[in-house]
Amino acid sequence: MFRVTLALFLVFATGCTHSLHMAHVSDFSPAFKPYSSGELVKSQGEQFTVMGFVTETEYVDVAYKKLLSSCSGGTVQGITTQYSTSHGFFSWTNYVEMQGLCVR
Amino acid sequence: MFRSSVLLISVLFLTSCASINSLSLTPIPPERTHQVRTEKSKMIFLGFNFDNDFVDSAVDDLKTQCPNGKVSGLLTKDENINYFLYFVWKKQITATGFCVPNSTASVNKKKPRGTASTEGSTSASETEL
Amino acid sequence: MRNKFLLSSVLTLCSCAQLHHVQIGEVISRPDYVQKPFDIKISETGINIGEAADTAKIFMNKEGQKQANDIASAIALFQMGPRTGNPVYVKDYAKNLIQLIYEKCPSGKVTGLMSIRETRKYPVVSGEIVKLTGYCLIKKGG
Repeated sequence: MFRVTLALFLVFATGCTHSLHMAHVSDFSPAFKPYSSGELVKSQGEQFTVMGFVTETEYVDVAYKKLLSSCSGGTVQGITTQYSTSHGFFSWTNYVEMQGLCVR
Repeated sequence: MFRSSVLLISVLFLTSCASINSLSLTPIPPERTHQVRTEKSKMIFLGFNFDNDFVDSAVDDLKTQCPNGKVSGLLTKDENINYFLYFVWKKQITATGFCVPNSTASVNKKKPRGTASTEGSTSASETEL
Repeated sequence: MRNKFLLSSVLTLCSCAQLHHVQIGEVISRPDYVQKPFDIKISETGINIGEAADTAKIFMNKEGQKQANDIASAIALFQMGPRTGNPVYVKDYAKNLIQLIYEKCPSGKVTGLMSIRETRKYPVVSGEIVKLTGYCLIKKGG
């Protein structure tokens, strides 16, 4: 019984872990539009790193540009910006996820 | 031998590891013709840092680039760039956004006819709800 | 014995709150609108493998303690990377924030938004929390 519990624990514990570092939500001004009058737009940037050896953080700008292009000519309100990391074997992947309501 | 050692040491000292501390993004405007950007940084040696005043001038920089408008869609990135064995690191703040001229901003606010122009004003009481 | 039990229960149930990040947005007050406060809390369970191993060692003999240490070290090799609070096993637990805000304030007239990222730490486990508070502007008499 103990071994089964230990095995189950190990299977669970050795799974992929993640860490959410921050979640920021922007204002809803100046548009203040309801959900139905806009379209949900999302973008993501990611960066794989081995032991943190990376020299730039360009993936953030990539996510930003993707969000801009997904709502050309419109206002994006209520933007949530989340920065997280997925852990791995001597390496990890950083993620930036942005989503907001595009109002045209 | 000497040349190789110098090269190796230079590479070790110049190689950096960049990581994000925090991010924020403000609402993105429809007018994105005038981009504004500021970057402020400070080198810190062995953690000896007694103030963070280097950040203060970032807002003034943006104001200078957008004297008659509102800076919106502002992506602010706070990052650390670590150099050799974390003895030295650089704190860097980068802010990128768009300057929306006041004339465009007032059109978006759909003011009633006959309302006097209030160029330069972005007060909360005027926000369209 | 009762005192010991009480003490250990209190210690186990006590949590420490750790604030990682907080941000406040624009606050708009208008005389023709009332502000209805709302809050949203999303939490996921974080696990500290090191503390789990330390706790397990209490009930083990010397050999078992060594094994627990080895297992914890081996797991740690597969979970490398920057952390804020304890790691969680669900990646996108806070991905529906915007929908949740609209559930609380369907009109989208949201102001005074404050986003908080915090950890409620208990022995071995923790609550990895994203909390949002704000106000929904509702027109008077509307």
